[in-house]
Amino acid sequence: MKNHTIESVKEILSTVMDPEIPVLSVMEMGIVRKIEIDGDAVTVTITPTYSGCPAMHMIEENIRTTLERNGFSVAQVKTTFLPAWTT
Amino acid sequence: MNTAALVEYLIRLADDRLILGHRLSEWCGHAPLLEEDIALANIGLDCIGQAFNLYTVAAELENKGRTADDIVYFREAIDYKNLLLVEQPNRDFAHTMVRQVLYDAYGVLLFDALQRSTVEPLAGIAQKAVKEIRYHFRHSSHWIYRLGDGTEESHHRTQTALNTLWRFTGELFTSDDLEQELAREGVAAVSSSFKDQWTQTITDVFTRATLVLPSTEIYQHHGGRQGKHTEHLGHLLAEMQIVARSFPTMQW
Repeated sequence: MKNHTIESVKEILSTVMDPEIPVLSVMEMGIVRKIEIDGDAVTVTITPTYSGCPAMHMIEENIRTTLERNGFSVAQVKTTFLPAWTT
Repeated sequence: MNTAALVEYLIRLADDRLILGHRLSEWCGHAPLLEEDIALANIGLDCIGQAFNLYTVAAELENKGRTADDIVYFREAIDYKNLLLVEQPNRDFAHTMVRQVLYDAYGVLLFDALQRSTVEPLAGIAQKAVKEIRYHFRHSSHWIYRLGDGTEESHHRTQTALNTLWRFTGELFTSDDLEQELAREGVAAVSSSFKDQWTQTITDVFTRATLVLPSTEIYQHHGGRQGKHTEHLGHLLAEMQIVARSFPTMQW
C-alpha cells in the first residue's frame, strides 16, 4: 500500500484536467477545496465554478478514477458551495 | 426548526429558478441573434443549476428517498410552488426580457439576503447565485433600455409586455406564515421587505427606457405558492416531463 500525503494527492490532482479548458488542472482552477486521507481511503471536497456547471459530474468521475488508479482503494468526492468559487 | 417548512421553502425557491430557466431554454435555437441564443441558454443554465442545487438540499432534508430528478419530473402542477410570473410564456423577445428583469431585480435582493441564512447549504447556494443573478440583471436591464428606447415596434412590444406582466409582480412581495416563521429563525428572507427597493430599481430601469409603469391599482394575481397556477404551467410541465415519464426507470 502506497503512503500518500496531502502533497502527493495534490500532485495527482494536478494531472486531472478541466474538461472544458484542458490546459488547466482542477488544482489550478481552484476547484479543489479540501483533501482528507484516512489510510488508503481519500475524500476530496470540490466546489462548482458556476451553479449550472455541466462538467462537475465529469470532474468528479475523473478525480475519483485518477485517485483509485494511484493506489487508493476508496476515493470519494464531495461538493461544497462555501466559500463560493470566483475567477 | 420545522424541517417540512424548510423543505417547502427550498422547493419554492427551486421551482422559481427551474421554471424560469426552462422558459429561457425554449429560446435555444430560436433567439433573434446568435449572441442572445448563447446568452439565454447560459442564463437558463445558471437558473437550472441553482434549482438543482436547491432541490438536492431539499431532498436530503426531506429524507424520503427522493432525488432532485424525482422532485422535478414526477410532480403535478398543483404541487409546483413557483411564482406565477416565471411560468408566463415567452411570447416575444420583449416579453421575455421584461419577465426576466422583473424577476432579476427581485432575485438580486432575495439571494443577497439568503447569503445570511442560518441554513449553511442555502447560504452557500445563495452566495453563488447572487453573483450570477447580478449579471442576469445587467443583461436584462440593458435590453430594456435598448428595446424601450429603440424603434417604435420594440417600444410598443416592451410596453405591452410590461402592461401584461405587471399583474404578477405583487406575488413577489407576499410573505405568508411559512415564510415569516422561517424568517424569524433566520432561515428565510422576508420577501415583503424587498418591495420598496425593487420598485425603485424597476422604476429607474423602465423610466430610462422611456416606458410607462402600470398603475399600482392594477389587480395582482396570487396562488403560485399554493400550487394554484395559470393555464400555462401545465403545458410547460407536459413538455418538460414527457421524456422522464415515458421512460421512468431509464438511467442516464
